[in-house]
Amino acid sequence: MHAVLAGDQDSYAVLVRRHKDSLYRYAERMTGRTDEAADIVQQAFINGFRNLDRCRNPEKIGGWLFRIAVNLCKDQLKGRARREVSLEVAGPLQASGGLPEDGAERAEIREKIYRALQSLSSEHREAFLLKHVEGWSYEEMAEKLEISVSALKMRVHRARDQLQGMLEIYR
Amino acid sequence: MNKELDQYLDGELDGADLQPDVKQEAEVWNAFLRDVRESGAQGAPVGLESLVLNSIQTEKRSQWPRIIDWWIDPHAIRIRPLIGLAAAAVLAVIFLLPKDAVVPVEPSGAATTVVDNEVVYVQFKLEAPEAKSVAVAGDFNEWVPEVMLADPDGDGVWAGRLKLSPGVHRYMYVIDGSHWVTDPYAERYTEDGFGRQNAVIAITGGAGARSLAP
Repeated sequence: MHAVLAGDQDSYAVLVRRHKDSLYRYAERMTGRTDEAADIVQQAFINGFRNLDRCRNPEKIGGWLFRIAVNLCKDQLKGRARREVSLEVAGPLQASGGLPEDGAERAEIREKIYRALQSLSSEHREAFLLKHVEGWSYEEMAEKLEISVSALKMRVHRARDQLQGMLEIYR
Repeated sequence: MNKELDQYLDGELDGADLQPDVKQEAEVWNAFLRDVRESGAQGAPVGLESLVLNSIQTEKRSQWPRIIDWWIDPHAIRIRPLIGLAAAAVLAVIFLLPKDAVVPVEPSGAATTVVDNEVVYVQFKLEAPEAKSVAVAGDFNEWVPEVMLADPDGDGVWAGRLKLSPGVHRYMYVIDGSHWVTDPYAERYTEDGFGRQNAVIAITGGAGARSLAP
């Protein structure tokens, strides 16, 4: 880890290999765009490399990189809101190794999930994805996002309340 | 939403402890959450890793040429009027500071406080004959090595003065943009968490400020 912090590129490559998937998974679901997600992940690793000296806890460098990506997602969504680009224009996520392609029904479910996630506020979506897709505990989320556990619970609960309508297709 | 169900979905309650009707609802939620996890990408697209690593290599290679170009190429510098005035005021204070108020710094490397009418300056100095640049970074500037020291006579002794607020500050020198070194003449040191040591300077302000030079 000290080699990483000293700016050793080979060591940093190991770190990129290890964390790129989770960062991308999160960014893609947050932004709803594959191109934006790839840009965010790339920028997160570059920013991380530029600011390695600011990582005060080498043992948790993965979480530190994730936090950079989380903030980049927030900036991206804010910028998008400013540009008044509707999420409706973006279109649903493309399947890439996700749900099995077994017909129109699955594609429809995937699109509904995409629409439902994008209908959440960015704060609620962030909390929901970290909890239920990344599988973080509330304590991990609180540490990485610097938000209290109770506030995060409230966000996740509200997100779930909003997503209740989606459950009809599963009954 | 049912409180018991929330607790289950939060991972605070085991599925076996749920009431039958809640258990049924929990199964519906599990099916939905599984689909959420499986929809969209499961990992980064092929090629993203190479893209990142190429960018980092380019970044590292191109850093110095870009810095040098910035100093050589003619370009307009935009500055907010208020910041310009503040910078002018700081420069005026620095240049109008009486020469005899400056504590002479003899050692080859040290941080020394300089006091003038309650204004505390710290003179940073490091002997580094092989260096192409020396910066100082500390908790006073978010550890960003942007405060560059100068070696105008080319004798390998780099120096610069910085206005700091009273208090205890930790700092390090950064040689050639990436090599972090501890001030060999600091009075005190503290662990930096990376196996190295930060130098520590204590500034009491006003007449109480003291030199940390040995």
